Amino acid sequence: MRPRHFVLTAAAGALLAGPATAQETELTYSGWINLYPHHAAVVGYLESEFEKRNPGVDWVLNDVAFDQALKQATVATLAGNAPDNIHLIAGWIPALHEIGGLEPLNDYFTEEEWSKIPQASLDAVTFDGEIMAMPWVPAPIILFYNRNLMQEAGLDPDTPPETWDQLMEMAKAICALPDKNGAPVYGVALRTQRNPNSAQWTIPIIYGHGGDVLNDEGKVEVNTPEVQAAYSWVKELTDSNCAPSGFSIDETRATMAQGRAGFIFEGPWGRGLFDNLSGGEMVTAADGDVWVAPMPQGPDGTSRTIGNPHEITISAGSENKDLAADFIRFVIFDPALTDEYFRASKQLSTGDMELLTSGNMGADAYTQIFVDALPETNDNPIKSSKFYAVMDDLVVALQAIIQGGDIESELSNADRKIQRTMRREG
Amino acid sequence: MSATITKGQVITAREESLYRANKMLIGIILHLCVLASLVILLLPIAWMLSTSFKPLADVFDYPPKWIPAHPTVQNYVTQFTPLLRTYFLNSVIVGFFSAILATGAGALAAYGLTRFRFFGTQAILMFFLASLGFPIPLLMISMYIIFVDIGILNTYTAMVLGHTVITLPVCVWLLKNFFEQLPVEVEEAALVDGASRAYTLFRIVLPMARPALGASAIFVFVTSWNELLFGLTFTSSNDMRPLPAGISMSFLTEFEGQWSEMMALSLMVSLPVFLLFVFFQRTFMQGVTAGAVKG
Amino acid sequence: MVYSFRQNWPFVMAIFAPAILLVGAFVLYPVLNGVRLAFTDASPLYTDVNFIGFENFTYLLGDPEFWEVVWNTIKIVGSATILATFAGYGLATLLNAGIKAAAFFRAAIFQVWVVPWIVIAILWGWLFSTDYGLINYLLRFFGIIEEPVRWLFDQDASQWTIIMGYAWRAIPFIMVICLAGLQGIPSELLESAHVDGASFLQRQRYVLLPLMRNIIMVAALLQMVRFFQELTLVFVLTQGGPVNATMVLALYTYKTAFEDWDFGLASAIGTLWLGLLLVFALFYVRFALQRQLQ
Repeated sequence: MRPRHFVLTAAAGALLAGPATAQETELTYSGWINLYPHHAAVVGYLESEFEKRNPGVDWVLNDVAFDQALKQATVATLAGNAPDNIHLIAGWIPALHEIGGLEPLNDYFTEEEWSKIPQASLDAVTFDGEIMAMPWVPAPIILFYNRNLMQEAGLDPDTPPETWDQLMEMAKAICALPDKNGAPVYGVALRTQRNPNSAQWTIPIIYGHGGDVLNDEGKVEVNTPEVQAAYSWVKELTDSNCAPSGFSIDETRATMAQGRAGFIFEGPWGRGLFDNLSGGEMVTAADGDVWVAPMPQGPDGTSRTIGNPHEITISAGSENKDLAADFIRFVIFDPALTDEYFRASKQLSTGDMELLTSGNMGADAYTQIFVDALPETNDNPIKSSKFYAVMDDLVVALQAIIQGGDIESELSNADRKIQRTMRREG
Repeated sequence: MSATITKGQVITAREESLYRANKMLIGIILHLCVLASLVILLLPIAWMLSTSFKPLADVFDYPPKWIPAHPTVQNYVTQFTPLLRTYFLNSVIVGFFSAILATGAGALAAYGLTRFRFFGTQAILMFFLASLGFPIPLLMISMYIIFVDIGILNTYTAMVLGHTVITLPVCVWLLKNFFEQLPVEVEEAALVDGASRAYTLFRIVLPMARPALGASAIFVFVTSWNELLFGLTFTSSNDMRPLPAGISMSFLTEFEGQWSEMMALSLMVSLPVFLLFVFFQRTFMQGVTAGAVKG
Repeated sequence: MVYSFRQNWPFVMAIFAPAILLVGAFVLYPVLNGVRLAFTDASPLYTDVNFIGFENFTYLLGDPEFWEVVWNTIKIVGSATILATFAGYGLATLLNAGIKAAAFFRAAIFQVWVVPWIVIAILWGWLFSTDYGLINYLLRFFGIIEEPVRWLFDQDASQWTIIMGYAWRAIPFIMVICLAGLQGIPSELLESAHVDGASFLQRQRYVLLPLMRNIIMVAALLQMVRFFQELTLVFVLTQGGPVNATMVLALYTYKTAFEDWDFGLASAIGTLWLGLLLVFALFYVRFALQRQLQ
């Protein structure tokens, strides 16, 4: 390549990347919806349909990996160039709210529209009466189990575990199965990579052992007998090689999709993911390869779990707030679009209870199991701007414990770090 | 060479032939050693190539196969998306302008450092060198604050500035070594003929320095092509992200074990810099080695 | 030839201006400002900035995690530098021993230096995968290990995974520089040693190494400085885990600044890092380089 060609290439690049035509109003969205191949179809539909209904509007999609989404939203907000609509999870709303990044949505939607959303989902994103986000994909984290492996291990595939002890027993039975395709079979595909999300995913286990990440005063505290019990449950699982060590989210999902894990804790996106990852071979159905059940019960007999619901928000700096609200209205309340999204992603596609319980979703047993789990689901286990930072402190303890660290001292280390993290919490 | 006899030693014919045989054996061993090192060093790249031509179904075969049983180019074809094209262009643009800016500013400063001596030259040089070791995340904090203040976050400018300042010290060092070797007679003659300083520099010195300028520009371009953090932190939309940031944002966390496609993508990302080196290898090696060997 | 500054000052000012402005605004100011921020609780999430004295420093110095990170950084960067330097110099020696097609080998090996870090990060994840990785397969094939190594989860193994990534990328660079140095050594010098009957090791010890010492040290230093700054590999591959085994200073500072948004604490880490580097540089110049000049 001669220098002159170089100049040409760069110049051509500059032209191509230049701004869109000025007359069009741009409505920008950032999120991870387009990053999964099985969602891509609905993104095309969404864009063309929305632009058709709003002539002169150019809908612009910005990809943000899930792992980076909170940081990106923060960076963009601080820099004053946040997209109009930001796709978030409930746990991140306080952080964005604290820096004034989000527009209260109360007045953009009618009473009737609000009434379709479950109150608990709204409470999770409401601050002093202001609703900061629209609940999008309701997401209780529940138990997926591989029916084939249960059968191979001599277990009844129609009776999933009801207690954490049973889950441990069954996981051990399954991981005793011989290697598949040269690699081991795991009991539970538990994510334990260094990632806040790994710690977040242990909260249901903590609930299951009668504990919480908040103490009676509502302050974060993890060095409690219940959390210790939960983490020693995890440790027992990994020590006996019945859970992989240090796997990322993707690795646990791939392992499940390869039929090498008995159980995995996932949200409603699980079915679509396993279908896509296995090339359509893994069927999630009551009599299929994989099926779902509520989380095992805790000492109080409930299947209390966390939710990781997707939310859609309007940024405070948006110059097209009404249009952004129209976009949200379209995404959440439009029967055709939500159905399209449901069929493409095979997951719950809206926070609208009426749509969730009618039509295709209403007739879908999988969807209804998640809907039934909603009352026992806590969308915001720590309603604080530091939620993810706290999880980042906790995951270090989780990893240290799995690697043989002393449970009590690691958790007390975590508490010390969490104190520092929470020191300037607003 | 083997026949070179110095210091009055006498070597018999038998010794001579033994010496030759020995030498040949050593030669063969040497070649084998080099070959083995080459194989070990290039093993990861070979595995990347092999995986990239396998359908996903064959990727997890056990034992692994070096030659794909069902070779396919599908993994490459699926990479040709508008998004990846955008990332490529962004990287080219940022790399290109960083190369111009860093090499330009570096060449001027390097020329000044070799031709003029005043009370700051040594200090400037030392500072440039030391700044190579300054913690980049520490610099990024203030850069971030500045960029927010002047409103250039999420622009090419922010990344070009970032990539320029982290490569500038190396450019100055590299070019300074070159200018030191450059004969000053031509400049002298031009100056005596009444040419201005600026004319001499731009019309006479810089054209002579083309190989070194090229090496410096390639260095900057490759560093920019490689750089993840600035791209990740200073951009927030698809149309601005350079390749590494774009890959980690759009392809990496959600690829879900599709190793064959990732390997194809990896190769495609490496290809431009690879080609750059194939074409400019001589220039670059001269520049780099001169800089370090002299230093 | 050195020209007078006084006669040419407008010109000299003009040619220094771009570099000085760039470096002043985006290197010098950030460093000074960083040291200032280290004494505050600055965070972009809050509008108020309070001067808090040495609090960030006392917190860090009393935090075992910080020392763990420092130690891990030294271990990873140090091992990778030593490994790459030995391998690079070894390869250069091999290539300089009258090999046919040395230029081809040099070019082939040098391609490794071109592989972008992000690609290494992706590739390493695949090569070192516990269940399907090539490395575990080869090690088992040759009977070196029985059970697969959890390269990315066992603390020592994960550090070595990173070290190998760093070293792999740097070997060609050190090789090229050493080779250039070796080729610059007058051949008469070596031949006279040869004829004097010096063995390979003796030649290395008494002829080559003293001559090459400075070049090797500079190449190693350049690589080490670069390793200190490099974090793509750990950022993409391990996020500093397991626990803190691969948490290097660069990643630790970055995460504190741009994930926890604690600019004050991050600046304090950066400042300590700067101090560490300064001490190291003094020692390096004094003991590793200076001896040659005497």
